[in-house]
Amino acid sequence: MSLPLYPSGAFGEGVGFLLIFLFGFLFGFLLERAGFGSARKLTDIFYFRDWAVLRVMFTAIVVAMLGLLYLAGVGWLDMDGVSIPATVLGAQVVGGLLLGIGFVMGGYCPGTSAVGAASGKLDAVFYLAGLVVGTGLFGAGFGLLEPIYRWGEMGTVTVPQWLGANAGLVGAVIVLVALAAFLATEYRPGGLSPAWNVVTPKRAGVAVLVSLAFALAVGYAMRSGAPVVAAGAAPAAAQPAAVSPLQPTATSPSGPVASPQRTLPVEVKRFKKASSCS
Amino acid sequence: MRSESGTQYWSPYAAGAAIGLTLLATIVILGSGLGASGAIARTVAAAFHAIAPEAAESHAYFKTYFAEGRSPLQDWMVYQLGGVFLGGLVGALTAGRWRPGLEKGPNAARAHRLLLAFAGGTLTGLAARLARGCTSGQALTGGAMLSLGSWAFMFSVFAGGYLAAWFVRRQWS
Repeated sequence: MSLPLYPSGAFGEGVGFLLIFLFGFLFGFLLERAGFGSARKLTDIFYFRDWAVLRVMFTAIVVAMLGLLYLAGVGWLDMDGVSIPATVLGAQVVGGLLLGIGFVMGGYCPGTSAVGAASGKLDAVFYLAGLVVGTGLFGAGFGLLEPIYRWGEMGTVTVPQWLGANAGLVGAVIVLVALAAFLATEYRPGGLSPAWNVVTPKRAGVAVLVSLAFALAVGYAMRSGAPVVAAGAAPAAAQPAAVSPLQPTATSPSGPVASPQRTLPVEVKRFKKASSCS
Repeated sequence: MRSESGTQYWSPYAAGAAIGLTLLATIVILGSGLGASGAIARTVAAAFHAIAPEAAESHAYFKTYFAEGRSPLQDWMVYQLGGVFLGGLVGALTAGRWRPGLEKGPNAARAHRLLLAFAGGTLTGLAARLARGCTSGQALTGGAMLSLGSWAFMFSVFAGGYLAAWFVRRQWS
């Protein structure tokens, strides 16, 4: 068995449609349970009233990231089969800023507006109508917007590749930063009850995540010649020269075994897919 | 956690962990992650095509959605957004939270809130095409895959939100 399953030909597209529908169903259900069908709850983060968005998002990212890094680290998951969104740095910074403004104005982001509309919210329906109009406007103004749309194309680049750092270490740092953010937003003056030696679900979660992060960093460091996330077995010679001036050179702080895997695999197929899969 | 009606919301950490496992399963089984705005773009492309097929197929941006030689709606992202909608509906119904209406501050006018919702959606629709994804496809999925651009996108979203929050605060007053 090789993972991911679908790209390895384990089942056809029809089964894939059914599965993605089911995963979407779960996603929508869980967003609703998190309270993300509510524009007020979603935007409360921007008024320092409720940190649910930060907590849900970073917990989800950390859990999925740890899963990917462990599965790729032990060799069960082939990251070459995974569509990693390509980096177009300028477009993504500009698009992110505009999307953040649209988020706090409208009260939703695209996925949560579907949940809001399904919960009966009229504002979510208006937001969805806006999404359609905005997409149309982008198409109509594509001639003008195209320079921004293509600003900073770098291909598929991961944070570890960009830093020239070990993926396990980067993952571990992200876990610790997320935990620090949770702690900072949970902090209440004098609120450190119950006693330190009482095990609560949150403390158990912290202990599990810290252990996993530590093991990850150590595990990747020990096999630092092994594939980093997203770094496939693309031979260095097969790499087109014109990927990007920002392409990291393979100097790594993780030791002398800095490897050809840290250079960028370039797959046109993946670019195309990633640009349409969001 | 407060909930305006119905049962309580889940702990954000429990909900987040469950979403993370769902995302992980999606990637490990299907090879790509979750997303939302792609389905909207495909719907727009399909509508464009229904009105003016040739213009749609030769349009500088939308032509990519016809490259496979079939309807842009025959795509995973479209099925997935259908699932998100149904999952949200079942979630709201089973929690006793399904209620027609809109959310706004007690003193804000309905038209004020609806206008901002529409304008915010419009800006987001444009921004998501520019960034090649939204909070689901870029921040969540790309974030978990450690894509550099996805992390830059995520921080930019928060920056944009905090920058603009003050100007649109009255809809919640």
